[in-house]
Amino acid sequence: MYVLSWSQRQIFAVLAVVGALLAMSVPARADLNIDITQGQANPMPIAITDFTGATDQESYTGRDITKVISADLERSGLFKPIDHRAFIQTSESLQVQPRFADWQVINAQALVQGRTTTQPDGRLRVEFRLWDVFSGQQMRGQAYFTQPENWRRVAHIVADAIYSRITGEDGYFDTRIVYISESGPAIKRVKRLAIMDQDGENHRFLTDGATLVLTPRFSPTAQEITYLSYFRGVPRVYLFNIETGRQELLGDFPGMTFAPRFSPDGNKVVLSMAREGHTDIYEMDLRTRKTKRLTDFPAINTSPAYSPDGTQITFNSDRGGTQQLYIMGADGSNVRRISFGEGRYATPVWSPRGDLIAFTRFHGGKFFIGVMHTDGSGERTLTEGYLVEGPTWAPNGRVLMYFRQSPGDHRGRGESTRLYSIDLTGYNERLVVTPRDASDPAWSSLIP
Amino acid sequence: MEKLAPAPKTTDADKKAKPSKTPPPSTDQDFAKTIAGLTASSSSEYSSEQPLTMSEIDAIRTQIQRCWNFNAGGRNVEKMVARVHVSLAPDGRVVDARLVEDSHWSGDSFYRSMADSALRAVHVCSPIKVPPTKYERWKEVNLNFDPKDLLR
Repeated sequence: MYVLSWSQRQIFAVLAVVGALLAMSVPARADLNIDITQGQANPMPIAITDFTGATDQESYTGRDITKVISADLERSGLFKPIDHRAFIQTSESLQVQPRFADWQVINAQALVQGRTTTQPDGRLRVEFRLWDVFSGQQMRGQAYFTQPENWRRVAHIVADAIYSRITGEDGYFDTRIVYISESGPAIKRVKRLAIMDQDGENHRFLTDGATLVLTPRFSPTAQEITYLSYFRGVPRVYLFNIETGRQELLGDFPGMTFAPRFSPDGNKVVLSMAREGHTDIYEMDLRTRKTKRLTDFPAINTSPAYSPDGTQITFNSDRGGTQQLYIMGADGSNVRRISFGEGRYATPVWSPRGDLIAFTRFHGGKFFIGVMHTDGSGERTLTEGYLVEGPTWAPNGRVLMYFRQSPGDHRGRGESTRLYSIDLTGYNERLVVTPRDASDPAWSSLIP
Repeated sequence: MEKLAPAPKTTDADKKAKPSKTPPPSTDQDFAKTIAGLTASSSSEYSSEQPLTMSEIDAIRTQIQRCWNFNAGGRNVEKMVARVHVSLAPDGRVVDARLVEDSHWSGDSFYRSMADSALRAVHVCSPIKVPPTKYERWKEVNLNFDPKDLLR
C-alpha cells in the first residue's frame, strides 16, 4: 500500500477550512440558556452508498468494499447503516453533487460515497468522501492505492477513517485476532492456534493440533505471537513468526513457564514461572535473552500485562489470602493492590488508552468480565456468565473481546465455547463467528 | 494515502447549516402532554414580554435530549461541554446552529465528536416545538450540552 504526501495545495485547502471554522464561531450572548444533560446512546443512521466504478469489475469491487465498510460500522454498535432501498439519490448522480435534502429526508446523519478505479500499473485506487448531511460539509475525504487483491484491507481502512472521524476514537477494523480453536471431545480436546481478520474473514490455522497450545498474544507489530505450548508434557513459552511460520522456544527456564505477554515496544516478554511451590513473574529481553525476576513472594504471582507506556505491570496474586489484582513498576518495585472486592480477580489487561484495567472475576459461582480504573476505583461489570474469561482490548481501548463457555447437558452435549466482543459501555455484545469452538482471543494492534 | 480536497462542486448554499426536515422524535403520552401544555400556555393571555415558564423550558430541553445521540464511551467525555448557539424561525425551525466556543474543535478529536453530536441533535430536532407567542424569548437560544450527569 502506498502513502502519498499532501501537496501544498491540499494543505492550503485544509488550512482554509480550519480558518473558516474559526470564523464561524460566535461570542456568547445573553439569550435563553438551556442545559442539556441527558441524551440517547443509539447507533447513528449513516448512508453508505455503493462505491462506483467505470467497468463492471470496478463496480463489483466497489460494492464488495461497501459491504465490508457497512458491516464493520454496524458491528461497532455505534452506527446504523441505512437500507439501500431507502436511498433516493443514486450513487452515480452522487458523483456529480450530493443532494443533501434527499439524505435528510431518509434520516441519514452522515453520507459516504466512493469510487474505485484501476490504475495503468494495475493497482486499485479507492477514494471515499464522508459528508455531514446537515451542514453539507465534507468531514473526511481520502484515496488509497493498493493491489486489487487487497481490497478487503482497504475497506477496513476506510471504515476506520469514518469511525475515527465521527467518534473521535482511533479505528480498530484493520486488525486481526489470534485465538485457540478447539474441537473434539472434552477428554481428547484438540487445540490449534488460529488467526483471522477481526471480522472473521481470512481465517487460517497456524498449528496442526499435535501439541496443546494456550494463551496466544500478539507482538506490538502484529507480526509475532507468543503463547504457551506443551512439549513432552511440559508447558513452555514459545514465539511464532506469522510470516515465516517459524516457532522458537523462549528461554531455557528451569520450571514451567506460562502467561507470556509482549512489552509495548516489543523488545521484552513478561511471563510467569512456577518452581518449588510458588510462581513468580520474570521479564526476558528478546535481544539479549537475559531474564530478570520481577516478583519474589511466596505466593502465586501471574498473568502479568504491561501498561501502554511500558512503565508498569499489572498482575494477579494470592499473596493477600485471596487472588486479587496488583500493579508494580516494570522493574518490580512499588507493588500495590488495586482490587478489594469479594471473590477472585484474574487476567488483568491494561487498556491501550491507559485509563482502565479489564479483568475476569469469579464470585458466587459466576464469572464476570469487568473494568476498573488503574487506582482500583470505578469498578463495573460488562458481562457475566457460567464461564466468561480472558478479556483482550481492541487497539483503540473501546471494545473488548473474551470467550464464553455455555454448559451442555449432564453428558456435556450442547456445550460450546465461543468468542464475543462487547463495547466498553457494556452494550453491543456480539458473537464473533469462528468455524469451531474458540477460546483465548488476543486482539492485534492496527496492521502496520 | 491521499487526502481529498473538499469537493469543488459544493455550493455555498450547501455549506450553510440547513434546517432539518426530520420529523420530531416519536412521542410517548407524557411527552405529548408536556408539549400540549406548552402550546396551551402560549394562548393570548401571555404576551411576548413574558418570560418562558419552567415547564416551557423543560419541554424544549426534553425535545433536544431525545434528539441528542451521544457517544457515551468517548475518552474524557464527561469533562466536556459543548455550547451551541441556535437561531430559530418563528415556526421553530432551526435557521442556524453554531458552536459558541470552538477552539478545541480542530485539535481534540473526542471534543470534535461530542460537539458534532450536539450540532446534529439540534438539526435532527428541527422544527422545535416552542410557544408561538413568545418568539422574542426563544428566537436565540444557547444550548449547553453537558454529559457529566449522564455518565454517573
